[in-house]
Amino acid sequence: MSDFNLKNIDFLGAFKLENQGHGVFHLIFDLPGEKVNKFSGAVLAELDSFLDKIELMPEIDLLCLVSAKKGIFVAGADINGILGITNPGEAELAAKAGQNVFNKLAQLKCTTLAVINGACLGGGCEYALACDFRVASDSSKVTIGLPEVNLGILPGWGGTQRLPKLIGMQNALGMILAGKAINAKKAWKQHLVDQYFSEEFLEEQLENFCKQLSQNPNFKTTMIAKREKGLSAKLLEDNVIGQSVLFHKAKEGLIKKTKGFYKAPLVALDVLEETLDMDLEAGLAVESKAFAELAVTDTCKNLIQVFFTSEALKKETGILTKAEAIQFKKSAVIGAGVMGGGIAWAFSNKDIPIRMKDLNWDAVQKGYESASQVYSQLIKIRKYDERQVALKMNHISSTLDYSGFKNVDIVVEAVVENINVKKSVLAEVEENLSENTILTSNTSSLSITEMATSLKRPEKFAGLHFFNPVNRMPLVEIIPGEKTSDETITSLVSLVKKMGKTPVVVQNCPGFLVNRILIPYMNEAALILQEGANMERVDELILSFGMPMGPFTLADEVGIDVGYHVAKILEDGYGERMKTAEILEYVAVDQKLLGKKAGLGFYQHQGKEKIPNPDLKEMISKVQNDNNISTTLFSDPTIIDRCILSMVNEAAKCIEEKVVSCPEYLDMAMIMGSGFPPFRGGLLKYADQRGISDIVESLQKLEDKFGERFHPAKILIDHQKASTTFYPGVQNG
Amino acid sequence: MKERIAIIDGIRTPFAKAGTSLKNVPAQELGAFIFKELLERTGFPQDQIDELILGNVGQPSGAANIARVVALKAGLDKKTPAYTVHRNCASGMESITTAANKILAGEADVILAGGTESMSQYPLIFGKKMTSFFGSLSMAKTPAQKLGVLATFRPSFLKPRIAVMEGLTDPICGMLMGNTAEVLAKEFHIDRDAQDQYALQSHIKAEAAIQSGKFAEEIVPLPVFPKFKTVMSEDNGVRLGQSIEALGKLRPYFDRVNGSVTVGNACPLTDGAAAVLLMSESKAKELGLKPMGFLRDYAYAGLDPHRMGLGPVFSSAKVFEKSGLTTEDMDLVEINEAFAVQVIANLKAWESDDFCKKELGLDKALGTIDPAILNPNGGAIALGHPVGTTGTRMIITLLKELKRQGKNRGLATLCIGGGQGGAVILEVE
Repeated sequence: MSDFNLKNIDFLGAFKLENQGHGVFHLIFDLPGEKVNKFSGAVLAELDSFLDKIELMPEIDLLCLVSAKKGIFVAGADINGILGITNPGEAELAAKAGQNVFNKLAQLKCTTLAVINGACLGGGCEYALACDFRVASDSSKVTIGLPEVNLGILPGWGGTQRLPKLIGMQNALGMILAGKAINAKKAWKQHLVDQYFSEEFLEEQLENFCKQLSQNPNFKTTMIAKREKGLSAKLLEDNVIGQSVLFHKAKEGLIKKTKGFYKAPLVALDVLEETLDMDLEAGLAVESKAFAELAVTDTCKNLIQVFFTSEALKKETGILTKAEAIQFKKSAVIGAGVMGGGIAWAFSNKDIPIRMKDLNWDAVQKGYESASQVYSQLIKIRKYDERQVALKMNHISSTLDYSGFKNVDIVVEAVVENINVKKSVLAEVEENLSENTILTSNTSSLSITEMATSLKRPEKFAGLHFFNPVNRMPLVEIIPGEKTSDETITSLVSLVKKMGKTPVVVQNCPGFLVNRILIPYMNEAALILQEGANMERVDELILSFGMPMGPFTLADEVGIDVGYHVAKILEDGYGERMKTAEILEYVAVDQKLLGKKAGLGFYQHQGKEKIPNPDLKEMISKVQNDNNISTTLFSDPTIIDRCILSMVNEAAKCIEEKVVSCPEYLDMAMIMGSGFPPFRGGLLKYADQRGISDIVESLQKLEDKFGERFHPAKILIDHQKASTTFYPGVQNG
Repeated sequence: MKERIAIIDGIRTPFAKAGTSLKNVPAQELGAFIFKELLERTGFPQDQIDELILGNVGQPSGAANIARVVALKAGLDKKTPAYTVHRNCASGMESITTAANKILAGEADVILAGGTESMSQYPLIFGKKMTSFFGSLSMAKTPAQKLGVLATFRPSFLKPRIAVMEGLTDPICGMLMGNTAEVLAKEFHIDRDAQDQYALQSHIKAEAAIQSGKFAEEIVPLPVFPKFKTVMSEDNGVRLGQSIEALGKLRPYFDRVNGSVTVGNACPLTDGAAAVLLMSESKAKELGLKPMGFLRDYAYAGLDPHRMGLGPVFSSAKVFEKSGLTTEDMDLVEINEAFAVQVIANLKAWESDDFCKKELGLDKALGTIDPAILNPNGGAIALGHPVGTTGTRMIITLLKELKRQGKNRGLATLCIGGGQGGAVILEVE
């Protein structure tokens, strides 16, 4: 049974009722032993019994729901509970349990007021919505929202029913469908809270507000009258045509955004539309049914797993010892190319001054320009204004020599991907640094241990692999070499977190983690192409699997030269099973096609539009003739399996070789680094859910037809034999 | 001065004629860039810098006390105070001499000084009529009142006041700087051809300095704000292959009928910034630093605003008297080239017993400045004159040239709008 069953509970002591005098009582939520308040079945039950007691206390005029946690009102429901739910009936009960308690709160005879002093999310938000009034402090900690759809579910404790009535359908759609939280000021503008106070004067202003509520008979009416919608909202929302336009637009937007892979926001939209004219009771019934339908899906479980993994990564130090992270105050980057410029942006964006070195001023200029272009985009979306961007750009300085390098704490090398060049550049850089400076290489695939052989302080050196484009790719691989110290590793982990990116520590092997898994997949797609499959079909099939773009579109985006270069390094490293497809070689070396940046690759690009390269057929027949390849017909599942299982198999090998410390981190790295679809939970989660036996057997079939590279990894066979999975607790098959 | 001030290092941005390559770069961005770079290059510990003092003439309305804005943008600690100095065309010299005073008074050990100017970004200002029109409009409450005010509008209200023209007009004598130059042409009887010849030499010498890489020693290539689509690395005012014929074709600008001062024999409006790191000579020794050079002494002098161009001879006489040095002790001399005629007038005054007796109260002429040691790399006519910056630029240029020539001592002096002159004596040994 789920955690949300209200029977058989021991009191946790999560709530306390305090008399403030003059009929005002505080119901203080303070979950013992936790940093945050959240609702589990037990907490709900305790609340329920408190509400029963409160209803019998006529001396209470005004009940204030407050939180004793700093910066947290209620963070939400305990999602571990949802993870355990396996059948819809059980899920519906869990939703109903919450609905009933919040109904009880809403129906109390006394006036109720939620005092929002921090995060007020999910179930916490629904708790506040069930009150008569809400106030918030203007603290930056205050975020109010219903993020449920991000976890593959919808607000199931009355959120879909109470929010639209309070703030209007248009605003409610924004909050429920996108799952985005808002701050106190915006919540006040939308009438989600009736008043907001400055944090520093919360106590006094709250006292005054309570006094008004309980003593001034007109105050309540005035406050409620203030919630009246504006004219334009009224015109749109209060007539049938306006409503249908609103829902239609929202649906269109959702389908475009989710590509149909994520059901939750669509279901939430249906609930909102269906219950528009229902009374609360009927509406809540629809809501809990829809919740139940979603809560048992794999998508929901996978998204919750991804959420847990990202929380775990936030706490990860990257090391097992207690070494302390160094704080980097000044930085430098060698090479002002696309990556160098992106890295300069990333440091400057976090207000860490960065010195950019290249061989000539033209090169340096390009680095400035790429950083500046990212900032221009951020001005466009109003993240920054021009004043802020000027300040960020002020952090970037540049040089052709090593002036200023003695004062930097960290250097990122981002020169050409050539081991000999890198070794000599790194050795030269090291000569110009202070002893404590950490030196890193932004290599995407070359050996860190090998590079370290040219250095005097290998313990202060590691791989720091940013993905392109740096501003949009959330993953950074941190690669310790053989001699890298724990202090170096944990300092880099802490730096990457500070940049708002996700660090994953991976072992030193060709391609590290993401490229090692991604390149075989792109190569396999190339093999499929040269064996006669239609390129657009391959791309579309992979899109239908959920990848953000097909392999050929991706190759063009990344740059065919770049992809080919990495593929060659992997071929060197892993031999026959990663042998580069002839077509890739032909396109990259003979035809010298670069991809989107030059307008021509597998596709011909014009602005945002693309059509297949008109010469593609000719190129394929040339490759087929030269290499004795004949055209074969493939079924859709074969194409998908060849691509996706190539990745699964390589991912399994990475686990086998302990390239990354656990399956969770591997899956997260692929989601962050390659856009692997989060609703699938990651490659290994996908393997678990599809069934390890199925994976092994499919790989074996592919091996028979297409060669040894599909030979299943040992760990897959072991899991098959033992009926185990990568993740604990997933049923195999 | 009781002790020399060490100038540890000094750099500048390339200078751009107003309205060209740097027209979109505000003065505070130019300043931030050059000070940040100076901090990086010297690697001097930031927490030991006591103050930043910056010269700037046309202070941007969006960067009040521009020195503080520059300091924070350059990455100086928020605890380091900063203030702006203004002595018109000598502001970039004033920042250094003010710093010297502070250091010698024991109020500071280490100071960043310099100048910044964007003459491109001097604003157009609404005139009095338009300003009061806006005022009345904002006072009007009812639609009828508003209409009433609107009806008073006349197109002539839109005629702007041009800040750069106002700035270059002497508020006391009412003359444009160019007209004060015309006064000197008449007083010292200097004809058009002499002026053009002088201007030509400035371009020829500057061109040679660029070709031989001399200016590259003081200029830091500047990635150009705000889009950073170019890097500017050379001064763009120098006319490569300038000829006397080309100069001769220009019409007099200030006195179109009888004048001789043209835009070709005057300095152009210019954008640019420069920065130096200063401390006492003893402090530099204590820290084991090798200064680029030293400030030996300085003086400012006042004179009739009509003849402001003679500032150099007035201030130099004063600094010679103060230091006990003479023209003969100077290995090199930099006289700022506001106008060719003004430099020539100073040279004439310098060697005139009559002038020096009458005007300076000396018993004979100051001496003769050998043309070979005067502005060896050209001057503001070719390089440009970003008014807040030039003083710093001259000091950097002169010290670098002294070192290159293996010489020791030089004089840098300039004329100052409003009727002043400034002079510094520099040494490298």
